[in-house]
Amino acid sequence: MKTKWIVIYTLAMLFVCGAYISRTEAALTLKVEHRTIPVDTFYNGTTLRVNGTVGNGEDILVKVSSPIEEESFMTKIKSAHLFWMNKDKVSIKGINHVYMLFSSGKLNGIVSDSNRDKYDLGYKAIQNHMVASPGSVSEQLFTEFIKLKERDGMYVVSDGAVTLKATNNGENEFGLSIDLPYQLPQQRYNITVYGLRQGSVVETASEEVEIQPVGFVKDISFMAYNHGGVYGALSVLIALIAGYFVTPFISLIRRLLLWGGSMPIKVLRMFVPVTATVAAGAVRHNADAIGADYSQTIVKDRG
Amino acid sequence: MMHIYLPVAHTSINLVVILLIGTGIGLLSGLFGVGGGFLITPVLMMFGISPVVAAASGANQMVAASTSATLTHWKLGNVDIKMGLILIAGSFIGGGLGVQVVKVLSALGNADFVIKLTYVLLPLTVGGFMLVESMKTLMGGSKGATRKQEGKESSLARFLRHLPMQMQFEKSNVTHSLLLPVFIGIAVGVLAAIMGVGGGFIMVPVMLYILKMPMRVIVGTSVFQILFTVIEVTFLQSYSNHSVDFVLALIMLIGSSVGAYVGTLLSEKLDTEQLKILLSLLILSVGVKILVELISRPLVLLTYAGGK
Repeated sequence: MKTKWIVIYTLAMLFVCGAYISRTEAALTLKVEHRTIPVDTFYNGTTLRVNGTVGNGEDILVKVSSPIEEESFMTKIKSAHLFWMNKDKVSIKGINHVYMLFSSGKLNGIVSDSNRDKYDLGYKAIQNHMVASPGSVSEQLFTEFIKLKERDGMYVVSDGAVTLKATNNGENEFGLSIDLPYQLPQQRYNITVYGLRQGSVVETASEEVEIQPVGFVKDISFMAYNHGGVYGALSVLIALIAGYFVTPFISLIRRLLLWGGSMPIKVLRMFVPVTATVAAGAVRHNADAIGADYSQTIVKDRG
Repeated sequence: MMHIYLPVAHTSINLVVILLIGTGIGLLSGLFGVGGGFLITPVLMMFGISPVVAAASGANQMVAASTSATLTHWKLGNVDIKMGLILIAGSFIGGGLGVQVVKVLSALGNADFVIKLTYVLLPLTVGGFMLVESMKTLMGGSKGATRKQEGKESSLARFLRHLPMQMQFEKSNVTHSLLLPVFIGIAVGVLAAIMGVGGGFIMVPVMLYILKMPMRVIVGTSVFQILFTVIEVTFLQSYSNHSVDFVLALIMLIGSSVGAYVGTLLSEKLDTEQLKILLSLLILSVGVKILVELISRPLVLLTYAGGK
C-alpha cells in the first residue's frame, strides 16, 4: 500500500515538473519582422525588428551571425619608414563574416564563462576558436580584426540594446531594432535568441533571415560577375550611344533657345544647363582652351 | 535623401552626391580643359568606392564623354587618323598590360596602394610643373630661360630623329619613328588601366612638346585615341576584374554633362593663367591628400585581401 502511494506521488510530481518545464521552454518565442531583406536599387541598409516573449526573470541575448567561414586579410606595415602598405596575407578560420550580439543587460553580468564559450557569445568566445594561418592569433591581430569588422559595421556587441517589458501572464516581452548596414554581404543569417537565468542559457529560439539582391541590382550584378564580357560590351555600347546623341541633343536645345522668345522657352532656358550640353560644347571649348594655353606656352618658349 | 545601391561597387551612395561629383568633375573639365578622369578616381575613393571600381567606372564614364568629343573634332577635321591609330595600337597593348597589372596587384592586395601612389606621383609632378610654369609666366620670368634654348636642337630631339622606322604624318605635317607614338600609347594605356584616366593630361603635352604636332590637331587626335583606350579598358576591366559599375558611370555622365556646360561658360570669364594656377593647385591638393593618407598611420592595421 505504501509503495503504491509512493509511485502515485512520484508520477504526480513528474507530471507537475514536466508541465512546468514544458511551460518555461515554450515561454521563449521569437518573431522576426522580415525573413527576406531585398537589396533593390534604392537599398541603403535596413532596420530589422526582432521581438518575442521570454520567461519572467530571464535575461536575453540576441545573436545575428553568418555561417562560420575562412576569410583572408592583409596586414599593413610601414614600408621604407614612409608609406603604409599591405604586407602579409593572413587567413583566419573559424570566424563569422558578420557577428552581432545584443543583450538585455551587461554581457559579462548575465552569462557565465562556460556558457559564453559553449554558445559563442561575445568577442572573447570568437577569439577562442579563431585559427590564423600562417602564425597564430596574436592579441594585436585579434584587436585589429575586431576594429576592422566594427568599422565596417560587420561586428557589433551592444549591452542593454534589448528591451524587456512585463506582460500580464507573467512573461516578459523583448524587443530589439537591429541596424543592418548596406555593407553586409548578401547571404543567409541566423538570428538566435538565448534566454538566460543566473548566467546559464535555459532556452533558445532561432530564425533565418536572408539578404538578397532583387530586380535590377540582381540582374546587373549577375551579369557583371558571370558574363563579364557581355556586361563590358554592353557598358561600352550604351556609353557610346549616350556620347553619340549628346551633340545633336545640345544642338537641338540651342536651336530651341535661339528660336524661342516666348515664355515656355524662357522657362526652358532656366533649366537648359541641367538638361543640355555634355561634353561636346565643353570639349570644343576645352580644345580651344588647351590650344590657347599651350600655344601661348610655345609662343613664350620660342621667345 | 535618395540613396542608390551600386550593384558592382556594393555601396549605397546618395544619388545627389554622385550627380554632384559628376557635375564637379564636368565643371573642372569645362573650366580647365582637362578630361576629368584624372579627378574621378580619387574623388570616388573619398566616398568609399574601392580604387579598382572607381578607376574602371571612371573609364566607362569617359567612353561617352570622349565619343561626343571625338565626333565634334572629327567634323572639324582635327583628327590625325594615322597618328591616332598608331597611338591606339600602343595604348591597346598598354591597356592590356595595365589591366593585368591591376589583376596581379589585386591578388597581392596592393592594387589600392599602387593606385594611390600613382595618384601621388603624377599629380605632384604634373601639378608642380604647371604651377611653376604659370608662376613664371605671370612674373614674366620664362623669357631668359627660353632664349637659351633658341636655335639649339635638344638631345631628346636628336635621339628621336635617329630612331628607326621614320614615317611622315601628313595631317600633322611631322616626321617621326613609328616606335615613338607606339611607346607613348603603351605608357598612356597602362596609366588608363591603373588610374582610370584617359591620359589626355599627359597625351596633350607629349604631342605638343615631343611629337611637335600642331595644336589644332592635338586635342582631336588625343580624344580619338582616348576613346579607344577607355573602350578597351572598360571592356577588359569588366571581363577580367568585374570592376565596372555601369550605374555609377551613367549617373556621373549626367552630372558631368551639366558641369561641363557650366564650366565652359564660366571659363570664358576667367583669365587663362589664373585658371592654370587654380588647376595646378587642385591637382597638387589631390596628390597631397593621397600622400597624407599613405604616410599617416591607418586607424586599422588590417584590411581585406583581394583589393576590394
